[in-house]
Amino acid sequence: MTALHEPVTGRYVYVPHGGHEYRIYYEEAGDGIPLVCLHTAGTDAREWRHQLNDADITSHYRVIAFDMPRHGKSIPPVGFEREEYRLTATFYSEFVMAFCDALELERPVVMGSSMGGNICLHIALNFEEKIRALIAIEACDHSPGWYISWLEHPHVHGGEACATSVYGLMAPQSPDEYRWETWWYYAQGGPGIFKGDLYFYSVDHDFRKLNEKITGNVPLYLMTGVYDFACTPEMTEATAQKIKGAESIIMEEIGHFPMSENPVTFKRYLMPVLETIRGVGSGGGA
Amino acid sequence: MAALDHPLLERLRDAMPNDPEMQIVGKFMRCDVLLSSGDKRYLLRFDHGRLTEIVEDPHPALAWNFALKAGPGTWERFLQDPPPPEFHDVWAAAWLGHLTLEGDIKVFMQNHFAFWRTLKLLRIQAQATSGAAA
Repeated sequence: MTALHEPVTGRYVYVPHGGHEYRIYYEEAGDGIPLVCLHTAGTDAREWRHQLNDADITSHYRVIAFDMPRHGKSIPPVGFEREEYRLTATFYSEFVMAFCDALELERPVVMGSSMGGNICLHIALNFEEKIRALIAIEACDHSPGWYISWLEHPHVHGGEACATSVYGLMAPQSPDEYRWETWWYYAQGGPGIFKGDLYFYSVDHDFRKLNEKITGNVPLYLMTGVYDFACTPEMTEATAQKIKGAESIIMEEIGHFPMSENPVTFKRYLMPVLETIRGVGSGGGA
Repeated sequence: MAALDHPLLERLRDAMPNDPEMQIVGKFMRCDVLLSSGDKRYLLRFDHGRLTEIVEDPHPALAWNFALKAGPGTWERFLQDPPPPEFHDVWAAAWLGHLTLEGDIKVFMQNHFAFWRTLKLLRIQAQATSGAAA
């Protein structure tokens, strides 16, 4: 009897950056245009498992999802215990590009959600010559309010508090099993890591005076679900209107974690975008 | 449309001990919560996954840990299935100004998982009733 395997493979790669050799775990599947997927705050690349397993995507794209340092299977740098973790826009954007360089990816598409969506704006601003297109999911120019001390407070169960705080960001129409799976990922983050990511998400990421500096040379799609209250459709649309050439796509019956909470609904919106990027089809949206 | 009222809270009280999920997540639940819907106020005492007391229009001297205060319209939307965006979750409604969360937020966070299940049960009870009425 032959065991059932997924077409996804996982590997470790060493990514040099800032004097550290980061041991980074990534998963990949498919052939074609590199599509680098960025996970949300406080969790890891398992969020992208449905897209990694989707032949409609992997037949044209080499889908790659990696765990940021301190997340999932990517261990923290030596000496992490001596500093409070706070993710910054500079480190995050430079690290994404360092990962792409390490894998020698040629002009990849970068797709990220939440903090992975917000960083797409910084990549558009600073690395446009190295990028083919950007898909910023649940992203906007300013998303304040989530840098919350309770998420690492020793009197509060960190796993439960982090996971339950984000459960409500998902749509009630999303399948229970996938919402609980996303909850599970969030229950597993290292202590203080979700909050440290949220330093970028809610504090260091203030793009309000930078929107107009993006040239528009790289296609930028901003996709947001109607049940997202951290980054509402209105926040996304207002950002898109300020960025030259940006297209906003509002997704019905989905929330802050489209790729993991409801891959079927998300796919309806994502496929036209992926087809446009590779030169077929006529535009984004379902 | 279901409303937040005393009969609904009594059904919640009866449902909690029979809910398998609450048996798991409510083991350490301990909090006193004030819910208000317009000028109606209810003090709910929770202990080990059970709603042990419902005090309608509680005396001002009675203490509570945290409070959820909203108008009847917010509760009606919150209790729908599926609830509309912005009213589907306590954080969402509080974040976007439809509901006020007050009091000791540490106690709220300590009981967040169990209280989240409690509110889910509240919605289930509200829907069971509105379905029966229809």
